[in-house]
Amino acid sequence: MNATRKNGTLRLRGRGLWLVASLELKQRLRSRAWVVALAVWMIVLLGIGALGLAPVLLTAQYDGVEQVSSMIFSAQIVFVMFAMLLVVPALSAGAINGDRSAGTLATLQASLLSPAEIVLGKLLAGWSTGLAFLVLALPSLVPIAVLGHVDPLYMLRLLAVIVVLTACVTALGLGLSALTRRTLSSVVLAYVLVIGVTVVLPVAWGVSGLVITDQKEVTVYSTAYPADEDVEADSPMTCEARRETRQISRLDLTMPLMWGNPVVLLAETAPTVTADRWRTGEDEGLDLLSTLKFGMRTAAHPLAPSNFNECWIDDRGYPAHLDDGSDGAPLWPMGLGLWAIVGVAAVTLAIRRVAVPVRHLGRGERIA
Amino acid sequence: MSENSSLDPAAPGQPQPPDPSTPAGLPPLGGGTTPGPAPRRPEGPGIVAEGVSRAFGSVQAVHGLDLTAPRGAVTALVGPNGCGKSTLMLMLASLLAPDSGRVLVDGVDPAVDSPAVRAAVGWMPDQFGAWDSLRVAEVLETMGRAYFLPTAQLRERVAHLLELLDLVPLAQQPAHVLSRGQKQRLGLARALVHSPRVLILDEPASGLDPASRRRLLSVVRQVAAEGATVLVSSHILGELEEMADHVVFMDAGRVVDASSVRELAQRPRPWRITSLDEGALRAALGTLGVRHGDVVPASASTSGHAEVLVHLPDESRAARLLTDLVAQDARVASFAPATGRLEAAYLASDAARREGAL
Repeated sequence: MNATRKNGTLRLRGRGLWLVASLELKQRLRSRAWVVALAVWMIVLLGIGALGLAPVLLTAQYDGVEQVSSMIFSAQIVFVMFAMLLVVPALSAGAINGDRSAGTLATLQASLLSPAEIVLGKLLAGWSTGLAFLVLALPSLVPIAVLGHVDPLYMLRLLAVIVVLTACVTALGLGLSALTRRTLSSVVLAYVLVIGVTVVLPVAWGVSGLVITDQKEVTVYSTAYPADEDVEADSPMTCEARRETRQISRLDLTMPLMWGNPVVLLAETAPTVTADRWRTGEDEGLDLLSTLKFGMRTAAHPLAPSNFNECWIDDRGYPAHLDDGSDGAPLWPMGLGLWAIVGVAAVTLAIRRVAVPVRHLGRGERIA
Repeated sequence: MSENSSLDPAAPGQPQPPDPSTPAGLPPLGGGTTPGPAPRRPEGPGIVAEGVSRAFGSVQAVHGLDLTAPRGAVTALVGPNGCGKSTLMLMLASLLAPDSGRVLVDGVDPAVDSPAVRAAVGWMPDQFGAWDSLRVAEVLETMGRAYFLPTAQLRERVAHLLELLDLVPLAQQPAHVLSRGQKQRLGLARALVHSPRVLILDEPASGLDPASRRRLLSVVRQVAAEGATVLVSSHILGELEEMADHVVFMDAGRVVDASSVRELAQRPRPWRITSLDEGALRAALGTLGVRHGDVVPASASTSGHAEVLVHLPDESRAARLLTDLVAQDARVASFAPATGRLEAAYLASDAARREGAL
């Protein structure tokens, strides 16, 4: 038979998409547990902000409010990111196999809804629920950001990264949910992957720095201390350069392990900080994420460190504008690209697994 | 016994599809307008399966099955657990692809145009899955939207189905509070929401109380009378006999027998005769030379009368025997089939002799 096959798998209609998404959301909203979880979440974040600022405010050290707020803001953003990584897999990793076990997936599959509408509707619902946690974090994040004089564009970049990552992790959960028979399996797998990317790979990356090393000739800048008799009052020390061979960790070679790390991706949105700025003590606007970004960019520099600057900024002959790798290649395109590939692959897999008529069923798998 | 269960839709006495242009007062339950492509005038059987096979690993669930179910009639699918009924229904609902062979539903192969088949089919699975936190009316509205019914039509349809299946008092109740029987009624309403031209019901009577079973029977007959093809499986053979026009017996993934329910009357089955006088009954049976089972005395029978089972080849012989027994003054108190036609036919099959057959 040469008839053209019309299975409508990829057909996407707004009504169909909204039906599935609203069906999922309606069920969640009617669960009291979710309302309680969202309320607790909001209270905890407000509490963290208040506790962080309390010592500064109570001791009337108002000059330090900006710096403390800036640090609390970045810590809260990381906290929000981790919370999303905990919540989202639990939401999405049971969306397909859970419905299959409950017998409701087959009902939708037998209707005129296309597999793409079913999967993307579930993705939309899972994503929206995850974003509800982000929205509820805003009453705590925004005042702290204002106190910390956080650049609004920086904040928007941070939120955008969280929004994109939430979508990708939701998609990953959906893909696993379509792949496995039991909800428990897909939830555990999703957590294993998320924890792997967030915790295990950074550890592996750190260990690789001890294992993968090069003997390399580098320039070392160090302060030359004159003999005691030559020292005049208030005379500056001299910064001298010398060439020496050092064992260099090649963290740049294993940097792909860190591309997908959500915290690194958050850090990538922070304003760039140079090594000179550290030495000048200009800590205004510095936070956890900008510090992390500086470290990661330095480590990602292909040849870094070629220069080791051990001088003080006041030393005579201080090597200004030394290439420290902090303005090296950004990591976020690779990181977000990787997550996007994972997300699209997971959604594609889920659509294929939900498509009917089913040709291949996994061992012990049922349609209805 | 034929392996091909082809049933003639034009057999005399069978319900014929009505003219779709003449609505019968109520909105059609099945066979009516379906969203999507313009409705086609029904042609040919509603369901055709040709040499269909489907295996799950080493288990051959359906094996070279041939089946035809006409429009405007109810076809019953009878067979032991695991004989492939549900697998066949999944293939007809366009959820499962056959390994070989092909099915045509409403004239369309699901492998070629799955959405067209899904638009035509109303499917009620044996295990009802409801969105527990949704209210009963919301479940139906959701299903109507899943078939892209226009809002006005959807509201009318939901209200009608709630009334038809006695779900009005439960309309605002969440699905999780429903009993099994109530869920079955909701499942049937759900399958009917888009006025399907082919209705596939997997164990619809399971868990239903007697009144709900009568309602199910009435609804299913109405759907068929409106021209839809109805395929129904059940273990409750007595009800299937009332509901169905045709019966298809399955065993080990194959069709082992098929007949119209009317034709089953021409098959042998046991008849129970009760008499007010054991001696008169024995004497009459002896005089007439009827082969019979042991005569149970009145003291040992549940009816309080003497009883005997007689196997008769068809209903005309039964009528003749009754006349003769009366003529012999056997003091007959009752004379009736000991089993239904369907049950007798099923019990005569090899499948029935296996443990856990139904």
